Amino acid sequence: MVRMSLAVVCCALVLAGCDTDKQLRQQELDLLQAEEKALLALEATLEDVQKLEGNGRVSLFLSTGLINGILAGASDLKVAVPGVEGTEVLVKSMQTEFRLGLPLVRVEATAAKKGLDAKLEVSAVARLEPTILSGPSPKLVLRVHLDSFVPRAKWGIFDWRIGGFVRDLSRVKLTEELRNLGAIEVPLEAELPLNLPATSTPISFTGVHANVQTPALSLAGKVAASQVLTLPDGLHVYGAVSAKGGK
Amino acid sequence: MKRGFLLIAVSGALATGIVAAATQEEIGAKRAAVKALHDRLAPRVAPLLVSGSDVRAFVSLAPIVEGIAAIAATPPVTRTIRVQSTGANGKFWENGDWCHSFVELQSPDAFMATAELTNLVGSILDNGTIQVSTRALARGKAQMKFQFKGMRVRGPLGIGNVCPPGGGVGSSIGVGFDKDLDLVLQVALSRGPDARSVSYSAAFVSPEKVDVTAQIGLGALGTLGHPVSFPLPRTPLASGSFPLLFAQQGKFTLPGGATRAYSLALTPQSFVVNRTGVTATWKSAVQFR
Repeated sequence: MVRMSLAVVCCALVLAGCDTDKQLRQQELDLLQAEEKALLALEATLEDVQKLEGNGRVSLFLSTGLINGILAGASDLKVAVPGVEGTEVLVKSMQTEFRLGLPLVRVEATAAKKGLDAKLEVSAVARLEPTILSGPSPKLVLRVHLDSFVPRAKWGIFDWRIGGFVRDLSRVKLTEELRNLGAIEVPLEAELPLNLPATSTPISFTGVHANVQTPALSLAGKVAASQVLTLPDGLHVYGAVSAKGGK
Repeated sequence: MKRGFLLIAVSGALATGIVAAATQEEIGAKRAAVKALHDRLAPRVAPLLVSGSDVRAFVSLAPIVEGIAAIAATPPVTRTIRVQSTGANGKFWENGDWCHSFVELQSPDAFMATAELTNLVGSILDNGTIQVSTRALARGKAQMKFQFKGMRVRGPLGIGNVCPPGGGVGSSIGVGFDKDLDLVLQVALSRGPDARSVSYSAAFVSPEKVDVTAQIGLGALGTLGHPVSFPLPRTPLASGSFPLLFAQQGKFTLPGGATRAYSLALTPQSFVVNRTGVTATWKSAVQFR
């Protein structure tokens, strides 16, 4: 009886083969959880939308199209996978798929191993991590952070080499090094100088030729970006502007 | 027998994917929760969305207006307009009845006036022009040459019209005036020639001229009030530009440290200046160098 049961199991396995659907579903659930968290955070930020572009505020918008144009700079990027010898992930493209509050990046990639005549499609989910660096040369840094990495594959029970490769890839621990898919720097301009230099303008009136000398006046505007919102159209950077008058 | 059924059940589960059924339910529930949140936020987000542009920049002008008030607190020397003569422009005053006695600049630099700008108040007009209103305390003095040629003598019935012989007597006299007046300076903003900057141009718009009465001291002849009109220069006093929030060049650092420098090729779209501030939009293409 036991022999018969084992035979049925083997038949079922052969017929069914193996796949990574379960991991892909987990990836989708993780993504939805991240989206829910991002939406809740965005809801708190949007309590007073008027304040975002009110008096004393600045904003800068960068579209997804523009960001995709920069991400195209990483096309055909090859990343070695640590811990799986001879394995390389080829990033074919990275495209934004921004959702409310979530700067998602879809990575189209394949994984290949030396000696294995097969390329596995990889479902990779990444996010842009925006950071505003202040200082004399302020910039917006968008780090492309890999969140998850699941091979998309189906194989038969006798395709043991592919199965082994999938298993090896599934066990890859995402180190910080592997999570880093690049960093975009967008330099920001923090100074808004409005300078009226001292000038001398000739005038003439009855009896006198003269020069009118006006003093130098300046208004030094200073921008401090502080917040980045992700919306489906792109990234919205908000901040404050202050001005100091004087010579 | 029981073990046999168990094995069959496990194999069936593997074949049909039932093992992951719970996760599928979780996904469905989470998807619904996300959609509900999304629907709630969408109307609040709608006004923030930008369509048809790749870059949009907004700068509020309100702090600049506040900054203007701070200029009033700076030392007077930094907010004083000076008028300094460079030469004579004919006679400052001449009178035919006084045998063409005249007053003229004693030396090229003999006239000097100052106008201290006080009560500087900034405001923004509907078209976004920054207006600076100020009270100017104008004070002027000059050292003049007074050439007195005597009084014309007219005979009875209009016969005779004689001036004393000779060129008259010259003396040095002081001329002074003071007047408080309101000056208005405007700073107009426009799109800069490089497409990403804001250009500004400042000029006096009011008054067109400053009318004062110069008090000419004629010694024993008393003091003469003489109207003098100074034109205010209407040409731009200054112009310049400042960049709007972002630079056109950046870089993309790839894993491993390689960098790809990029620049943004901007095509200007809208440029709006109003009481709220400056808003500009661009289309942009990314070019790697």
